[in-house]
Amino acid sequence: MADDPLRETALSHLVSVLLDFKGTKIREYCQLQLDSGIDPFAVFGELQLGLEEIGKGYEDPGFRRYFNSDLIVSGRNMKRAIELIQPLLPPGKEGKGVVVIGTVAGDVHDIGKTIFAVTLESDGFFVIDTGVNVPCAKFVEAVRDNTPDILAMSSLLTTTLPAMSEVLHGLEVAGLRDRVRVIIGGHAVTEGFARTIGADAYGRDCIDGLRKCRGFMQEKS
Amino acid sequence: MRIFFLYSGPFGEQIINTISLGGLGDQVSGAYEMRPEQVLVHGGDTLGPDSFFENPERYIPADFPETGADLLIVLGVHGRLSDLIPCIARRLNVRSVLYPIEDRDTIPEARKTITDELTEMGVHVEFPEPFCSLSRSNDPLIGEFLKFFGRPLLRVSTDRGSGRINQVEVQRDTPCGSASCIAGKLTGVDTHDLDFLSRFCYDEQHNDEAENYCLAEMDPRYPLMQEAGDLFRDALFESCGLPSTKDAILSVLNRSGDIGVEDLAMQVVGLSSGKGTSGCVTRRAFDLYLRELEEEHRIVITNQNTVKLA
Repeated sequence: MADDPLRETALSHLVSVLLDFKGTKIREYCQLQLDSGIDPFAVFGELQLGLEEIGKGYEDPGFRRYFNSDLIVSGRNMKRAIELIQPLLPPGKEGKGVVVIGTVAGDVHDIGKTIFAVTLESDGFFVIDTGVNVPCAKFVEAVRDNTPDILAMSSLLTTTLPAMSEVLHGLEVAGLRDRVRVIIGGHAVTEGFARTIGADAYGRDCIDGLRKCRGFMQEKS
Repeated sequence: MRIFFLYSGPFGEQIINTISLGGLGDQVSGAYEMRPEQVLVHGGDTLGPDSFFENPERYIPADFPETGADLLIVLGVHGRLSDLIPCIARRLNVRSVLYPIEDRDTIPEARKTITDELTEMGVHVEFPEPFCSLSRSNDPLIGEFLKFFGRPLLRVSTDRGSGRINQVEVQRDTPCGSASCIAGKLTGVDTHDLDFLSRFCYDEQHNDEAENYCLAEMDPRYPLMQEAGDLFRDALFESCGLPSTKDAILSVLNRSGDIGVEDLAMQVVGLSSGKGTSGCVTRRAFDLYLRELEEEHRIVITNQNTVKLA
């Protein structure tokens, strides 16, 4: 990225658009891109690159360049972008599968979960979004009531990881575990953690998660 | 009073916007955004931030404005750039510095050194954590600021019959502006259900659909956002005549007599209204209230860390 100054400038602009707390720049950016005939999914993809850049700056162990407030504001702006772009995304094939999705109890971050939900929907999945700070009982109830193919859980905060384990246990107790495939993801989650708690898959990012959800459905058919 | 903002990112922008629109706009003498990358690659130089100690003046960006101010407010600037603050304070010729902390990464690495340097220069400095915990100051400039922004201060009128909120007047807004935003949604809300009212406050305080919302760190290990929520909730409860966390503390002391601080915290923090009163959700807010009750001579904290009514 650093070898391409034009690309770097574009990325820097994207970051400034995502960090505008008033939310006017993101609307202008999306409208300009869409009016120029750029594919809505490509606009969505570009914005995800900007989010990743902020995420990298937040996670940089040597020198953190972005803070919690930057994550919150960029997440809010991504939601504004999704509101504009989502209606323009081409519908996927109907009936690919049903996914219940949510951020676990104790965690109010929703942007990673929301982006993944949009990615799944645009690929043809039917998504039931249970929101953020979702208690174990609500996940179990959503699985019982909607009989989804997949349960997707997200967590940004390490301290909320035990909540994922609790949901898997809750599904076992309710006799629902073998009826649903479970995928987990988010900043706090690792592949090793997913294995440890007995999840079926770990989604490193939205695209990886989508690939794994597609895989679940292929196995099922 | 002339105010200068040194800031970084949307956290700083939101506060500058709130302060400028909320009564102090004509007193703002300038604002400058200072991001770490712009300082660390100063003039093509890639020296690390440790070099600030030796010659901080050299790292002040060349386009830093030539202006003056009485009060410098530092917002969201990376903690490793904080060594530049005394230099900047000298350049601006300020008399006071407000340096709120809303994220662990913005905690000045050398807080004591900075404080000592500024004090030597005759500059008063305070580090409220979070910004909306600031409620009083011996410094006249910060005292002036506090007439407009700081810990939320509300005046609420409720309907005696229905218990619903008629009107909320925000006498002092939070610097992020979230108090005004929540207040605007409180009309008509029932004050009988304390748990509902508490949840409403906490949810709205970080509701990113609102025009202004709290951007403080929310990690349970450093729950500044949750503490800010406690401060707003208790401000509302007090102005409605409902039992606040301080009332919960006094109620436990009335019931139990002398009690250890830890035991008291266990009984108050996270207490739901099922027992007729409710407590804050963070230990940080509990500790703040305990200190205030002691200063108000309503409780005594012994050397053995036991609390009793005064």
